[in-house]
Amino acid sequence: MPAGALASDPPRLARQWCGGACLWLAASAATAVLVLVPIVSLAIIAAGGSGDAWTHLVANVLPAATLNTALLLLGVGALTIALGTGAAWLVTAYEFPGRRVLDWALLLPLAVPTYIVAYAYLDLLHPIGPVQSFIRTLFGIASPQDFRLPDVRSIPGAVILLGFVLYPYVYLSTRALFLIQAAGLVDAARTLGAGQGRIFFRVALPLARPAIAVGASLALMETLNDVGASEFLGVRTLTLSIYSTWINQSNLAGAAQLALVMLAVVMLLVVIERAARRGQRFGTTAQRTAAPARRRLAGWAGGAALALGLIPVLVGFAFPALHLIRQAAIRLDFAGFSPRLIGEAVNTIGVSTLATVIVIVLGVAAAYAARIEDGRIGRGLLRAASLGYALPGTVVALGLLAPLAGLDNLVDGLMSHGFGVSTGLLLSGTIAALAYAYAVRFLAISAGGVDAGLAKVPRRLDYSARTLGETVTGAFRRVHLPLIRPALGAAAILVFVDCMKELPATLLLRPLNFETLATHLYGEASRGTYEDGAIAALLIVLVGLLPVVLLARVSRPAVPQVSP
Amino acid sequence: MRDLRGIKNAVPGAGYAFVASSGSGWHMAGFEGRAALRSAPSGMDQVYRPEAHEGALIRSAGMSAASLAVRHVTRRYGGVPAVEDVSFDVAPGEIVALVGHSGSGKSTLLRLIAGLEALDAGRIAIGGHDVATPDGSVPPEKRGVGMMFQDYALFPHLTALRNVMFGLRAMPASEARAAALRALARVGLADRGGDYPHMLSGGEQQRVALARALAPRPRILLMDEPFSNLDRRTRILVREDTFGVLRESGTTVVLVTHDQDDAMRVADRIVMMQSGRIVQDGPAEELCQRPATLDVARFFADWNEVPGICRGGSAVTPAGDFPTPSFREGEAVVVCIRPSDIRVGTGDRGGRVVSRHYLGETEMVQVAVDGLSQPLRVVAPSGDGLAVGSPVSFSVKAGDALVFPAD
Repeated sequence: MPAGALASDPPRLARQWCGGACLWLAASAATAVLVLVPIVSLAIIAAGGSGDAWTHLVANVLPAATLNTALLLLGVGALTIALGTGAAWLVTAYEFPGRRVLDWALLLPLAVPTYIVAYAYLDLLHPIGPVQSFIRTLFGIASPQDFRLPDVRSIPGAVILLGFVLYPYVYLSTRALFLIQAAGLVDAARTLGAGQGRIFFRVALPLARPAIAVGASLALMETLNDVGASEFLGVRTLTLSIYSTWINQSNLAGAAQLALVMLAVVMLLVVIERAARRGQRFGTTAQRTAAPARRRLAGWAGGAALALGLIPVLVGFAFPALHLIRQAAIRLDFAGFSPRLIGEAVNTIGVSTLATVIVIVLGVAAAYAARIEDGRIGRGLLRAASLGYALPGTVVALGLLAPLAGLDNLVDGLMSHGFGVSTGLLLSGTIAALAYAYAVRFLAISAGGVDAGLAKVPRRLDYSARTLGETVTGAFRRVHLPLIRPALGAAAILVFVDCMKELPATLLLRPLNFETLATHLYGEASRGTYEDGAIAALLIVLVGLLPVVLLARVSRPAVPQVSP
Repeated sequence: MRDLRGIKNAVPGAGYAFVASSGSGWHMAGFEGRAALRSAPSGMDQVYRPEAHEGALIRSAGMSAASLAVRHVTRRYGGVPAVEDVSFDVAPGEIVALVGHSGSGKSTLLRLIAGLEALDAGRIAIGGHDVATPDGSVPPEKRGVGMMFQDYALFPHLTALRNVMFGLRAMPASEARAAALRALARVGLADRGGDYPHMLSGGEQQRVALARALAPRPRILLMDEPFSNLDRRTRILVREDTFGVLRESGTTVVLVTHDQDDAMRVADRIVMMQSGRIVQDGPAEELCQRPATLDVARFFADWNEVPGICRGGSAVTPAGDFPTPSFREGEAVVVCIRPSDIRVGTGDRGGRVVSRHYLGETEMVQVAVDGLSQPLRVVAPSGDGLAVGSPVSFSVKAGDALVFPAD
């Protein structure tokens, strides 16, 4: 800027709301396009697939896969709702010894991915594994042939295992609602003479319906996303069928068609969730800071409540975690920490870090653009960028295969033609492709987190910064960024851990001979070998505890703020 | 690209002179002639001399307060106009209050002037140059306007000093720091620069906000309800001090308020808005003495509102008859009578005293009159010996009453 400019020179009229604002909107639009690419490409591939393959799929694969998926969803839905709301009611309506610990301990199963709980229980419940051996010793049964527990490799087995690690989604959302909203109504119901059971079924449960819908839909999306547990447990779900149609039969069009069926299931879930939430708003405005008056349970009743509340923690976290610790200890004693495992850990951390950086940057772009253009365009782009949370990893990966290959071919063609240099595969089968898939899957976490963080920054701070001479971008750097740093940090941790745990997309997109901790575990479990698997699983669970700690802190009832 | 900020900031501290003063107030000698004359104090050694600064020339060429012209400005939200066909002018150095009830569009208008919103029709010019038209606009950071808010909008992650330095980026850090310190000293907070906003009282936050808004020497200062978060006592003190500073600096000010007291005390002119339109624009006494509408009348004073009907050129009411040359025969009207324009104890009208409140030299007497749903409020000299419940005669100065169509 020339220092000699005079004020009498008219400042230039610019196009309305352009400059920095337009750059942010463009970045947000690009982000939305990145997320939409896999969905669109799936539709195109599926439309171009041969009719024969589709007839084959409809006749042989689809009915069983759809039925299995439906049964699994119904079972997991029912179990997570029962466990989640029951546990939430227990810790909000009653006071008993150990309640405070249980309050956060009930979140622990979140640290155990579905494929790890299946992996651990396959071993635990094996006919010659610790549980069955113990039962036989207890009853003096000599041979495994004389007594056997029902096989865990079944739909009921899968429902129980998935239900016990996925219920925390329902627990989190309903507990928050019980804490914030129910207290006053429960007190009112009590003065009207309602007993405990009546209060739960007639007041708390209907009140919690929207929260249950939110939590259960998240749990069911995880169920749909799962590929490892269903495979280990021998349940041929849609996800697994997509995976094997592509990997074993190299039938991309068929897999894409199945993926579209899966998308339809996802949309159905979203519709059901919306319907269940209709007419009820999530009450975040009228926050009660006073804790509800809890009913005191003493003596054996208190002990029983604690025991009841501990069941999901033990089944969903303690048993598998202890088993993994024991197996890992044996392995470490025997072979130490293998270089291969270290390499895989480095791979996992590397690709997760890369993806986290991308996800945070894109999330910031989408969320801040929505703050600048807080209308249909900005908000719409933000919503589009967040679509990926509902897409199972397999679907995202399949949707990315074709566009990435197409781009590689295009670049390769241009380079060979123009410079005589073949660039080969730039994106397909590289870490970049993996990071892209993770970004699509987890963008909702960072976009949502940043958006929520920005919502707490009063708009007058934006106005002040602008009238004090800052551009749109400068205001973000100097005002918003410092203020949303905690929200950014939390989002980064959540994204990072989700990337580390990710299995289905990683299986499909990883470079040759590139193993993460998750794919290593998957490989060993599929082969039936148990070498470093337990160590890998334990590492994933340990890292998975990070967001649990974060959630436990965030979901604590709000302490009244002392106003400055 | 030309940048106004560049000029302003190239002359750190130029223009304002800071004069430490005893007592409660804080004063500033401005760069403009009238201000310098007004406050030429004894402590000249403390006064910054703009002539000594290389930026003085530039400053005198362009850094005086700017005029503002708003022409037929319209802003709609989803088809609903928030500001509709609004036009008014502000002369350089003038202080204009935009008043109106909440939702009248005054804050939207302020944001339009600042460039924080886009207008749908009309134009806005600052210093004679268009800054906003439907086809394009100068972004807020290039307009050279300062803005202050009701909640002060201090950046919570920055100290008071850093807040004031926020808008001084175009000058070297050391100069910005010195200029910010001077700005803080000007508002009497020289020793609070290291404090974060939450450590300051409401009045102190307001003063930091003022220092921050003035530090980059805006051509126009826009204030959105700057005193409404303060308690009554603080409010009056801070208001006087703030406008002392603003008058001396000669800054053009547009102040939005819903408080008629703020508007009458500090503004050279008042623009009253209602439902997105300007209903009256003039000096305070004009709006008080000759309000254009019943709403303007209600906004600025406390009236007895008496319903009546026009009969033969007069509004006939239970409190008396009032000349109404411009109304149709039979039209329903509202007659506004000042409590001080009613005399009790004499006259041809009768009522009954229902209450008396001692106010010091005067007292507020409420007189129930047959045919009126509300008693008339009368300001009477204390000690008239009127007994509550007793009948009383009264008369009204008919010439000073205002007559409006009934709403």
